[in-house]
Amino acid sequence: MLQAIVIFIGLSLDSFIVMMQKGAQLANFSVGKKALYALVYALINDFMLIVGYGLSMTFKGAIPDGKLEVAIACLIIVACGVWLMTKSFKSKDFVERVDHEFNMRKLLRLSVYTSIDTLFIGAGFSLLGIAFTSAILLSFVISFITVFLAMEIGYNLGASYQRTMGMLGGALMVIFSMYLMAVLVLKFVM
Amino acid sequence: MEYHRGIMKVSLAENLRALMVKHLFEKITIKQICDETGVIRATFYNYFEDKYDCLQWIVYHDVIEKNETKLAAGDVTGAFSDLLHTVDENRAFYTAAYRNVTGQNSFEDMVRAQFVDLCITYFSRYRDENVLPAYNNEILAHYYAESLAYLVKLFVFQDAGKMSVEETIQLGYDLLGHSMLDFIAVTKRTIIK
Repeated sequence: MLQAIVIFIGLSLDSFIVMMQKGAQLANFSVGKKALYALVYALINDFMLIVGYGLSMTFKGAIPDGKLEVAIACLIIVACGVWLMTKSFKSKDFVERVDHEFNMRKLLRLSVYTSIDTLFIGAGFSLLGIAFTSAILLSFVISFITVFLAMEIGYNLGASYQRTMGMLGGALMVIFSMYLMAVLVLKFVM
Repeated sequence: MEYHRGIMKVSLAENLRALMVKHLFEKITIKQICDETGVIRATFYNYFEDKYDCLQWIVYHDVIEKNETKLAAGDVTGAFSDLLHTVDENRAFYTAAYRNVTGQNSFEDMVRAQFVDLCITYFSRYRDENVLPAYNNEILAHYYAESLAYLVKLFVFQDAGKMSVEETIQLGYDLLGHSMLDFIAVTKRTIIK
């Protein structure tokens, strides 16, 4: 369970950055609207996680060994972590500019785009044997809180430290999957 | 209501002006401008799209809006003199802006763009249509806007007290009032047909 929490937190930092920037670009932003946006975002994130779990079922049977499953899961998480770090490192300086045209359709597009990594994490979690229901619940709660907080912070304080946060999120995922790998290797040796 | 809107716009812009003297432009956040003005982000966005828009408005305000009466009367020299006095009073801001706001949305481009607008308006009102009619007002406006923007930049970066407002005006008169050929010795002049 702890591993899932850490990975979801790492993953959610990406959404945090995106929604913090959005929060800093919106002129009129009530608490209700923030809650609605966070809810939609969390639901999309959950949907992608479900798709990830579903996808893993198609190739899970073809993997002969449980240890190989864990190794593949770790590699998926490392890849997601590295991708997040690279994306954050390459990100351009953000300019706070009002976005009068942001609406639910744009939020849906944005949340699908930023939840693609959740799809892969879903596949990884399935291989790690993390219970489906707990993963879904955790993902929903963490996404909702993260997105709500991000919009609140973005709107009130502005968007800053995006690069650091993105790098931190990616690093968190890489380190944790490396730890899982190490545990697997130790088990194999012993 | 309109008066109140105007006051708020000036207030936000003046606070950005003050912040730019103390901080790098790229580090200034909308929150800082709002905190200095005592308003929320939504208020800032009611007047400006972003901090670049706000800076552009400052240039518009200094170059055109403040000198509207003189410009309407066709007194370009008077308006340019007033502008240089404004620049002189806000030299720290202008120096910081020229130095720190560079690249795609550079401060230099913003100043030039305002002069282009100003020149287009001026030529459309007062141009003598018989002089070089082949060249439209836009070409003339861009050409002279470059020169005026250069004079402002020169005035900003001159050594302290080296060139007064009056001397800069005189420089503008001398340079803009002569063609390039006037500065060339008669024997070396290219004959343009």
